[in-house]
Amino acid sequence: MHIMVFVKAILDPEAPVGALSFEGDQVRSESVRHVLGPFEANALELAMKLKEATGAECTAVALGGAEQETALRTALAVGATRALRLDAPQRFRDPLETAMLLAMAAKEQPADLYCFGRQAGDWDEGVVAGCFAGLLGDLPFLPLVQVVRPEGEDWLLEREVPGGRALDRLPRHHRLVLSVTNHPFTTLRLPKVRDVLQANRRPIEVLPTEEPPTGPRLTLRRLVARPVERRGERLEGSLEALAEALADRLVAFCR
Amino acid sequence: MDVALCLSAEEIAKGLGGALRQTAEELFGDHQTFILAEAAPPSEWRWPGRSTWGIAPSGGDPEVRYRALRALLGDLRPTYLLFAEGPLFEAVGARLAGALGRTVLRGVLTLHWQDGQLLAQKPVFGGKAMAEISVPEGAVLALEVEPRPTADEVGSPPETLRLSAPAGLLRETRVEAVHSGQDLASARVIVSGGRGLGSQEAFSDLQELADLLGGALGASRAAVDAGWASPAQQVGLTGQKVAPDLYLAIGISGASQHLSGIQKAKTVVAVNSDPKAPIFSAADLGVVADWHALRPLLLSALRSRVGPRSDAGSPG
Repeated sequence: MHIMVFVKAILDPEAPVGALSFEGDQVRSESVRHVLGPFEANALELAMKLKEATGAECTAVALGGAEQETALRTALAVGATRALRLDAPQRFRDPLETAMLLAMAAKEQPADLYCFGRQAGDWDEGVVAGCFAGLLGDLPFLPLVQVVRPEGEDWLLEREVPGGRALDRLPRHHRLVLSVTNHPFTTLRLPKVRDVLQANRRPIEVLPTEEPPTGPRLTLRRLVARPVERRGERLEGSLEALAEALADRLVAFCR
Repeated sequence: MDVALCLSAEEIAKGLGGALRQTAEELFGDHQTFILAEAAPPSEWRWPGRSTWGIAPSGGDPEVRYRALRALLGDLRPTYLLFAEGPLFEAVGARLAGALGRTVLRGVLTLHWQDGQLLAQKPVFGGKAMAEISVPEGAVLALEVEPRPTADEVGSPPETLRLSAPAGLLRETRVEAVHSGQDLASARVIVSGGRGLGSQEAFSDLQELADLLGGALGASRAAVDAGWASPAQQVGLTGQKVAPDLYLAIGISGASQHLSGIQKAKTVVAVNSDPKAPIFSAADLGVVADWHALRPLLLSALRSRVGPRSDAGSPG
């Protein structure tokens, strides 16, 4: 069995408001580092759990430039068997084009299970996994997966659905595309220091990409920072005074 | 121009069909409409122009939903396919776009024409910025829309076409409710906890504060990841987007992903021990304090003002 997990390094989503600036269609971020996207971290953890449970091979794939190495090194450190970077410039890209480029990796070495994070934390698209499934011969696509466990010939799945979770059973012989969301089951493990050091010495394969076929595509026109419109008042004083003042204000806000 | 509106049974019941229809009328004027739906049209639904309402079976299997909608689409090649942002789009929309070789955009807040270009606005970078994106013909779009009633319409009811259920993927599926607390979407007051609380016990203790304020209990992504709260309680861009009168964030640092989900809150109050936490720049009122020390004093002060309570009304 072969699992392919798609990872992405993004500008740290926990960077303070104002650390990113926007000009025209460009994002400026000199002091913000790249980190593994939070939902890609969930997809990676799910892939690792399934690799351990089934003895599968696991390829981690990223699309972009050298900034993606942090995501791929993390994947190697937690147990991915192979890391592959599809070489392409980092920029806003139409999600159908992104899916077409990622499909190159799937054609190079097909997998039985393709794991994506539910949404990249930069462009917040949340559509690439579905597009990829549609492009790759209309593979079945299961969204918002929280838990997957093998049981005999079946997968047992839990998915986020409105108001709760869906508990599914499906045969393991299907090739599937999953979008993975956060859940205690998919919270990424911390790699051991020894594994991080070893991962830093392992090769990352680089595959050149070709421009996908042209067609009607989304074009980013401009980005505008969203202002924060809150008063930002602070209560001051001793703990007792803070409790009394906060209680007064909370009761007033609730009226 | 042909436009297809894609609707789940829940979306029709909520009145989102009317909202999508209004958007299509405003943007595309005189057009032929195909409705690809998982339930019959509301009885009051009338249409001045020509429309066809296809009814496909829904259910819990995403593969059934996809194949049914694909079968309804058949040989139709609408210029745009419009979805409401929600579970039907999540299960079907992007896959349909990929299979048809069309581009796709979700989370669209507004659409308008400018110099012959259809322009969409949507939040990006966890809500830190708004992107203006030019949308070509052929796109599949998921719109953030508010319910709109379909009463008092004129014209004829749509022609209907009903499909039988296609084969699914799942051997079995059932839905289990995982959080029976107050609904976050309709709550007037929400008390939310984050990683700064430090433990499951401290998170659970927030329920008493929520009860005193007549509010619902929410959580940041970090609290959900730690297993302290259920995913149904998560507030944020990928959790629930909420619009209470009061949002009280305790031990939440304020990642942009979370802030994006509380933008419609009337008042945001934050308690955090880190004076530099980003949540303070997105709050109306901030308190820098150790929550564990503040909590008993605040509960005592609140009890003296509102008394113990178990209902969900407003205090005072």
